[in-house]
Amino acid sequence: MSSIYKAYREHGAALKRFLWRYYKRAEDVEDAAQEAFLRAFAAEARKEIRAPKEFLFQTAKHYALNDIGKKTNSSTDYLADFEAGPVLQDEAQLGADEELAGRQKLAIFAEAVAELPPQCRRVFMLRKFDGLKVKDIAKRLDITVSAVEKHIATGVIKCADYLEERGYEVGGAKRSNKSGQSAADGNVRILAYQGDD
Amino acid sequence: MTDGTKIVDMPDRETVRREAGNWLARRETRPLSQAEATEFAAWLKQSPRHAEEFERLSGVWDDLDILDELNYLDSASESEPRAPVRLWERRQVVSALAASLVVLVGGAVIYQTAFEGVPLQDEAFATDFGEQKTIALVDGSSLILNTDSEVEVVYSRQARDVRLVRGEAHFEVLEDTKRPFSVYAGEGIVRAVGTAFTVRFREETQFVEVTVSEGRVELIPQASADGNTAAASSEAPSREPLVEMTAGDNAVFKQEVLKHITELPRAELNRKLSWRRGLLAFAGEPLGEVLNEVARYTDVDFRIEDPAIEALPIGGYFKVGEVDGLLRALEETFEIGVERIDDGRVRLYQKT
Repeated sequence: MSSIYKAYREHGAALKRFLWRYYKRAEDVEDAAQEAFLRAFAAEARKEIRAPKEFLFQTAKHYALNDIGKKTNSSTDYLADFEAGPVLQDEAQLGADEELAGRQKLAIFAEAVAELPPQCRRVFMLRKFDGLKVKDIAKRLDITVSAVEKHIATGVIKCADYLEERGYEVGGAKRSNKSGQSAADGNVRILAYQGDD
Repeated sequence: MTDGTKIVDMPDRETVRREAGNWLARRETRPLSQAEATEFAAWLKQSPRHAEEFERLSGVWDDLDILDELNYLDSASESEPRAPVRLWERRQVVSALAASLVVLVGGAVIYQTAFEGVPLQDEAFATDFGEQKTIALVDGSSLILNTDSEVEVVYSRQARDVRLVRGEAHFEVLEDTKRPFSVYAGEGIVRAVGTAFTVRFREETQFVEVTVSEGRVELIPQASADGNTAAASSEAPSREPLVEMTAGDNAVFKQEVLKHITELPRAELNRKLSWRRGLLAFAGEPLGEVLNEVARYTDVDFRIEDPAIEALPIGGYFKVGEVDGLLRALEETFEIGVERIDDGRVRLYQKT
């Protein structure tokens, strides 16, 4: 299990108590705790974290301060400016609810991967977080491609088990309603440019 | 179709799941041979459960792509705060001479006051194609490293120096009047006072592009491009600044040559800086220019066959590192033909 995730599970209650210094509402505290976990977990994939609990709290504090600051001076200028241009509005814009749901989905997937054994977790993070090709993952971890293959095989099953235990609907119908718009599913939004005439 | 009740040795779910995992992993790591493909097709047909398990695991595997979003969390706090022990060691090494002086003077208290609040750092950071990193520096300043970029950070007691070896970086600098913050790039120095700005070093032309989003910076031509931050840091740059820039300014310079300096409209400024959020934004730039920009984020080479499409204005934004998605969108929205010649080359042409 990832050391950050372990700290998050063991000290989650303390973390939330700590976050009450910055927030007045329980849902804000919950959100901030989750955001802190995600950020700390992302950092952990990049480097060894020597003091996971302290790091998690530090990250939470940074996030909270940032978050409070941001809520007072809007950070959506960029999109507003962009939309004002002579560009067709694209339909794949995420609504606030979808974004929230997306955040929860991100958290549960991060947890699933955080639970994997260390080497297996590294393979998953290098593939899905760093976007490395399999042969580069093998090189980076100094293992064979077939070892990477084995980690993927066991890891994907563990993730599926974890997600099912948490009641997350895996595969099947849920996915089909997303098909057919792969180019626009949040990663890419490219818009036809309309000439002046 | 076989009636489900007739299947005699119904494999247990565990086994099917394990086999499904193996197939998925195999398909993920390498192309299946002809024989394997046949075997896989036969495996899928063994029972509805087989196909279902495979579908489930593929769903999980694909959905794990969401972890990519961890790359775009908007936080400058992702680097680990320096462990005090390590900093202590570092200080001891770096300022061995100074430390011995302190010992002569005496007492731990003096040591404390002499060294507290002067965090030192000597570290290099780099990113690959399509990769971005947020780095917290020891003084509380931070930098975001864009794709295919490299910086060397050297904090001494008198100066905070960063050499941008290649690529692009955005800096958010905490004010410290006693220790100026300078970015060395090519033959220029960008000097900051409590500010946020982006420096891009274009290796081809040796020009340095600077965009200021907050505060004020000075552009200083460097006497000689020695390529050595450590050496540069010991002597504070004494040259006269070429020009002083304020928030919203964008300038391109090399040595004493200031190619241009302009104040960007807010929208343009935001667009220029959108890479920090993992997005590339375009508002009508010609396709040729767009692909030049995109090429920075990937090791794929783009070749435009047709001059007619090279000038096609493109608007939109896309996530850094999602080259496949961009190509797909070009194909679907703009009716541009996209052909992958091999792993490293893509040909674009006008569809007729």
